[in-house]
Amino acid sequence: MNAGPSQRLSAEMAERLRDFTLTVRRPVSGPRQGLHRSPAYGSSVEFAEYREYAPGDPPGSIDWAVYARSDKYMVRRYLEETNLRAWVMLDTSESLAFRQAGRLTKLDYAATLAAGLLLVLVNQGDSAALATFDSDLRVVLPGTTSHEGLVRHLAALDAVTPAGQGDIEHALSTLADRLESRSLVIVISDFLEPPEKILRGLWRLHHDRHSVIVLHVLDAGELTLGAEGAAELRELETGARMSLEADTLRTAYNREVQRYLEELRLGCGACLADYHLVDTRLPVEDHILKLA
Amino acid sequence: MTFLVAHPFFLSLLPLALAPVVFHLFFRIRRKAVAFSTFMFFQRIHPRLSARRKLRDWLILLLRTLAVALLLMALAGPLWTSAGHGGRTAAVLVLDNSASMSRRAESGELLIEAAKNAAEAALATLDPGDSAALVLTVRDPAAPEAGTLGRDRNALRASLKAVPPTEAAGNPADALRLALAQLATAPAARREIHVFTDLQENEWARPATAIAAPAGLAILFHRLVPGEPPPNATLLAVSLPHTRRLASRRLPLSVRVRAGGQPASFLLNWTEDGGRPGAVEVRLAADEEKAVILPLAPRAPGSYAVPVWISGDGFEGDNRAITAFDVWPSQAILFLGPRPAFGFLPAALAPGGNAALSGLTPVFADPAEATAALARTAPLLAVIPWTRLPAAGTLSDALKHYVQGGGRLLALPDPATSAPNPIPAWLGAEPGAVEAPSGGARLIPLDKDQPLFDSLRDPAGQVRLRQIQVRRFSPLAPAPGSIPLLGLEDGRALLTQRTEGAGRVFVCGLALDGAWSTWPLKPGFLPLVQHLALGDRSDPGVTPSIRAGDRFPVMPAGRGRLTADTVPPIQWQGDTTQIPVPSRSGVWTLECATGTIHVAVSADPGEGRFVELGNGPVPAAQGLPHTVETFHSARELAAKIRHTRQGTRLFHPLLIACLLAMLAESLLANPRIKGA
Repeated sequence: MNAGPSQRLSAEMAERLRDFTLTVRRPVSGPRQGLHRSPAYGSSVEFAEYREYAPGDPPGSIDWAVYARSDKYMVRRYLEETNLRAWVMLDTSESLAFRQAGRLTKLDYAATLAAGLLLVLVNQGDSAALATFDSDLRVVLPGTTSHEGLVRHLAALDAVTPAGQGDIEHALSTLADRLESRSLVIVISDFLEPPEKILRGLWRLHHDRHSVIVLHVLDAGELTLGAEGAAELRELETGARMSLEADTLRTAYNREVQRYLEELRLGCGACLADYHLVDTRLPVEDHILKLA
Repeated sequence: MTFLVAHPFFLSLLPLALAPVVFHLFFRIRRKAVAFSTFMFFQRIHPRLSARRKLRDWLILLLRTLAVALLLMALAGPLWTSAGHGGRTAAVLVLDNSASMSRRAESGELLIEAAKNAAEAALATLDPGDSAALVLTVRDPAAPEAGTLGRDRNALRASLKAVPPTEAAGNPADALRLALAQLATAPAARREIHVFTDLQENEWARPATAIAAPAGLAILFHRLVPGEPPPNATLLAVSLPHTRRLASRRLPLSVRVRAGGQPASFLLNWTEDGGRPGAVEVRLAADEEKAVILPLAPRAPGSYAVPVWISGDGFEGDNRAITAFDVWPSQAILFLGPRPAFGFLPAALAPGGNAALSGLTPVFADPAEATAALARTAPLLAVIPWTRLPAAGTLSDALKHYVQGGGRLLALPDPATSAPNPIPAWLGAEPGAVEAPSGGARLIPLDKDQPLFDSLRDPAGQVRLRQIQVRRFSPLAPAPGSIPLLGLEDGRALLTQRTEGAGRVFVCGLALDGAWSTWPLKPGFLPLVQHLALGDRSDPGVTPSIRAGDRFPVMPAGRGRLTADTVPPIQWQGDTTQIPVPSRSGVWTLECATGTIHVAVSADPGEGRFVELGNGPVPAAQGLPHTVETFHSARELAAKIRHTRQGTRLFHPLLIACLLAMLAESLLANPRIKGA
């Protein structure tokens, strides 16, 4: 890899990700031949179906063996294999500045994860685009298939800082309006919004026949309430303050988090989005490996 | 109710109770808020979690403060009592010695005797080191002084026993003020005032001005309950007519009496001139009020004191009154002219021609010698016919000088007059031509409110002049300032009155004989013409009257000597600022450097109204901590006093309250979250 130095993507990490591949569950449309299944028929080695011969079909495509058995002119069709148009959407809202149990803040972790995914996509010849968002899209970099082109994306990732309040539904809808062909959309966020709102955005992508991967980045201090005793908390995005007795609330809090995660996981399953909970305590590569 | 504290030091630490609040605020300022990604999950637990938490925090703080405060108060060792507790006791026994206390209780004992027994029982509850004093609601000079706190119980008991009943209304405010003044400087932890009284409204319902109470004070009213109200008659007032009192002349003394709630039949007694007794029986319906006229007849000039009293009713305290007055020697009436010129007037003023009956002596003189005659006789009234009185000149000036000096002048027509002659303008009326209407005219009072007609009023206040026929008359034209007294139905005046200097001028348009009118033949003639000479005078010589219990009307400074011919007789001397109040009916005399003051003192009639307060707050003690208990027996009273002194220790209740506050604080500080 010769993408150049990046805060988010070290040479060692790039080396470890060299052999990683990323696959998608649904057919995608790409401008070039690639590794992924296309909704169109083409000339790959992957048999798709038989179809009756129609005038205009090349005579060479007639399967004579079938004619011998059925006395019908049948044409063999093959799936087209295409490359992938992938969008990595990174949430940069203020809430991702949180860090308690992990080594990095959620944003730093998410940006590193995004950088790794972008590299994997480019490595396998796919088109990798980057968009950052909070309540709206902030940075939108078109897809690149080359390592040279990836430098710009990595630089953009180096520059992200947590700011603003998040609105995932709006950001996803805005992106969906921009996408023209079936793409892979990887959403990296802490998703700290009401699940129904998040799922509305995901459903919009699903209806537009995009493949969606949801990477839910959370600190362990959020998964289980880390504060102890009487605590005065300040909400990162709104600045609101709250006094609470953490010990008395811990169980109820943990239960609410689990309920929320379950709701989000089921919702993602319903709209065929791959949901992955990303614990910031684990190495980034581990999570990319799970996607491979 | 009073709180006493064994260890006041702990109370001084009470501000420490605010320490939890101070610490809370201090640490709140210092505490840094921890950044957290979202409150979404907390709000899903409870939407108002933060507001509830804040409220709970303040409640916890309040409970912690309360717990600390209660603990400090408990450690202070408070004692809740109706009065002070611990150490020496200073007690003032306030004895109601007003007239109403001479009623009897159900047991037949006089209330004042029962009060004395109760006071003795209260005295017996005191320890040898305690001090006590006796204060009376009526500062009776006949009672021994014991108003200073002391430890000599025997002396105090003797003083108590020697308190006689009075005929006065008490002054509770003064008595309480005196008692508080004693207690204010007493070196005692516990200060008590025990009031032994019937709580009669006449005294105790009067609100007192605020008095500051010393610490550890308890006022206990021991209410003595009287028996059934006895049949009672009250002597309300004794009054003399506003006339010049002359020797040999009958003096009607008006005595107003009133029955209580039951019919009363009693003797109204008096002692006249030289101890001559008199008595008249009076019967009154329930609540009836009546004026009884006692016919006094002072035979010689001098000073008189006439005591009047009721005997034969069931309550003695309101039965006595006295009036004291001077009686003058006989006085002259100067007629300036021959006797026939005055018709019946000389006989009406001095029946028999001398002072034997009316105290008035007729003197006739020539108008030309008027000046000398006026100087010689100093008459009460000078009478002159118009025809003898020129409009100006020496005679007019002499008469005017006499009137302005306080004399009285009556100008009237000569019976033989047929035409008017000018009279001096200062007389205040101009006579007109003599008229003799066929069929006559009727004489009526023109201003019925004038005192001239007081002796002719019926009980309803109406003037009864009867039918007086006027045959001849000279109508008068009153000048401004003159008052028409008698006149015709058409409004024309026939008798006018005018004030000139210190005296009065009367002008009459009628000759006072039978040819001019029937007036001299009517019964109202005598009182009216005698009133012209004697009536409506504010002569000196009546001793000021007050009710028993009232202060002296005049109080000169310096030392004085007080005496009274009462039972028991009064002999008191000292600084007049400390003078006691007249406590019984009689003539009280105060001799001091500026002279001698006499006061006629009557029993307070309010003491005969048997209405008492209950066991509620006493208006006369408003602003002072007090309780009212009905007195039943000396033993019960002593037990109550001892129990009151014990008080209630509040250590345990406060400690329990502290623990409860701590328990509540623990529950609040460790809540059970629903579903947690």
